[in-house]
Amino acid sequence: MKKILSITSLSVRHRERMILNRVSLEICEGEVFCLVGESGSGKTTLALSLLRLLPPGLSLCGGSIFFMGKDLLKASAKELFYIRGKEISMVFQEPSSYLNPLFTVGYQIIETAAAAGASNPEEAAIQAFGEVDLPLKFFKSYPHQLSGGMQQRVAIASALVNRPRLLIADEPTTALDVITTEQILSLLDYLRKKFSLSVLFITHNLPLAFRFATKIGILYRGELVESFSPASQYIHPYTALLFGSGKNLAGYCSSDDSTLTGCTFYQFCPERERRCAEEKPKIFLSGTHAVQCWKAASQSSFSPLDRNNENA
Amino acid sequence: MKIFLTRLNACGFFAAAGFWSLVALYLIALCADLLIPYPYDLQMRDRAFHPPIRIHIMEKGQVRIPFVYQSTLIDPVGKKYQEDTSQRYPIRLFAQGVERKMFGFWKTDRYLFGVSEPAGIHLLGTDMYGRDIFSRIVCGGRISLSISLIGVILSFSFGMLTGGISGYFGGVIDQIMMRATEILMVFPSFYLMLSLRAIFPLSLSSVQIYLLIVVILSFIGWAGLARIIRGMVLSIREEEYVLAARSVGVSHWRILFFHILPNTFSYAITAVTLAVPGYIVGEAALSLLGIGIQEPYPSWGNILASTVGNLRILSDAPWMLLPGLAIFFVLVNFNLLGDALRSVFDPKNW
Repeated sequence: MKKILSITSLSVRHRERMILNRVSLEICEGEVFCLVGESGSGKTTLALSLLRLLPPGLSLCGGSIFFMGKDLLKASAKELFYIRGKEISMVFQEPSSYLNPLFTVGYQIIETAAAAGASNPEEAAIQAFGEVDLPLKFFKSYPHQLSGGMQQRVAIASALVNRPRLLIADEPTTALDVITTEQILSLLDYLRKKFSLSVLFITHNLPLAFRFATKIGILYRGELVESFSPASQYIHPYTALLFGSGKNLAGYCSSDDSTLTGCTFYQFCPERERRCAEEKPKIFLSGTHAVQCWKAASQSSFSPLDRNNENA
Repeated sequence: MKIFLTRLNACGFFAAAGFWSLVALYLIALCADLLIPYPYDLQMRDRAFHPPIRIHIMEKGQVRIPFVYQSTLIDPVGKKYQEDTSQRYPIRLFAQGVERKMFGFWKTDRYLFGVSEPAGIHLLGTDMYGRDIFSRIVCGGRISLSISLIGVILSFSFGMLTGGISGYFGGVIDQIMMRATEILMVFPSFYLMLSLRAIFPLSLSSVQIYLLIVVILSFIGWAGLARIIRGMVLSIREEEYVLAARSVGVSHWRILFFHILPNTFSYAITAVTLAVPGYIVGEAALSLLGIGIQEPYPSWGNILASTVGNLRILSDAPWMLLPGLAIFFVLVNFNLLGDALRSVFDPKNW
């Protein structure tokens, strides 16, 4: 499969604090990469750094992002203009606040199409409107006149109107109810197959990720602790905790232990060993399955990846 | 337009009344030359300080076409007039009068209404030179209403532009622009207005003075607005739909002008309509001090100005204060309209 996106040891910091710490991942054509993590684990930061739209105060401090052979971190403003909304587009979490309240939803899709230089933006917008199963009578509605699910469909329509290669969906269903969530997900799945889209799907709902993803990445405090395909067995204790998260996970992200030299998950890990406190786990690879935990060291199929050579 | 009117009507009676009154006022100002019974600068010295004329419809128990009587001056010092009831002077449409130029090019001696001499139809009385106050107020409305409208448009475009750029781009641009506006704001606006006027010579043509006043008034008005718009833009640019717009590759200028500034309209439009009165009063203040619109051209300000310092006018000829009523009427209507426009331009109310 052709690689669409490859992120190599991407780091983002806010003053002294690392928001993203050496995150590496790859997305191939037609793949759905589900990025799972708690609030504050850096999911949205990762998504925004792909579009180079980090809020002021956050700075990229290392790593590289290659999108279809282009280094996004070195792209000029003009190149970014041709990538945003045309090659990579994004669907956001809270549809009601991501639509400008002053314009009709149809106009906002037309504008997206026009920004990409579509020859007939209006026609493209109407077509996109149909693709997300919205009745055309809502084309001239204002955002507040639509329900949350419909607003999210509008957001998806405007994200897909320019036929991007990669769709970033940043918790697109978090603000929606269960039934609407199902509808939006099946819509995304249908559109993905139709346009052979790659999707970076961000969620904090691991069971949902298991159903939807071709690959799952677990983000914990800015580190991608595990990435695996849903078919294989996960290894990292944090993934297990997330999956069975009947337990209260609150506070896992909040405590500050920047002095810790070992594993970032050490404090809360039910399977911690002495080694975990002293030495930061290496990344162990087995095919496409990568995990950052000493547990994998004992498994024969995994081989350690030397971090220092990672960039080579 | 139709949508606008439906929404306006939905805002209640006073909103619609305010809007239509203003439309009527601007129409009157536009067609001022058609409506007046006398040229605004025609002096009738024998009829100085004539009180508003009485229009009769009954004579000896009989209903007649509305008519007036000739007034004769019985007390030249106290300016007392008495009606001479021996002859009726009916009010005629398209009456003949002094020849004048309508709209600056069309010579005619016809007036929409009038009475034949020696009677006079002074609906709102006359001033000390015997000029018809009604004609002067109607013609003065042209200046007062247009100065306020043009001035407000100029200063608001400038204020929105400055505030928008300053708030959106931030950094050094913001610092420079905001310090500049602050310099402008530290001067009390009235003295700034006076000193700006003082830069220019006193003897200018009336058109020059008119333009000068527009520019002075708009120069003073934009700073406060720019500050507020900047603050609003600062908060709106953090809105998620701005991020969304950037994520689909909309350019900065387009985001500023099409996504951010329209979101300040609900405030700005209200502020515009509430600022219009300030411009009318500003013009009146300049004229009042004799450095605004010069006689014989009327403006509401300089009609009022002629009463200043003359207590006798206040007691004996109170109709000279009627331009004040006109200003008041415009202000009330603009306030009503401003309130209504805020909800008309808010999509949440549609």
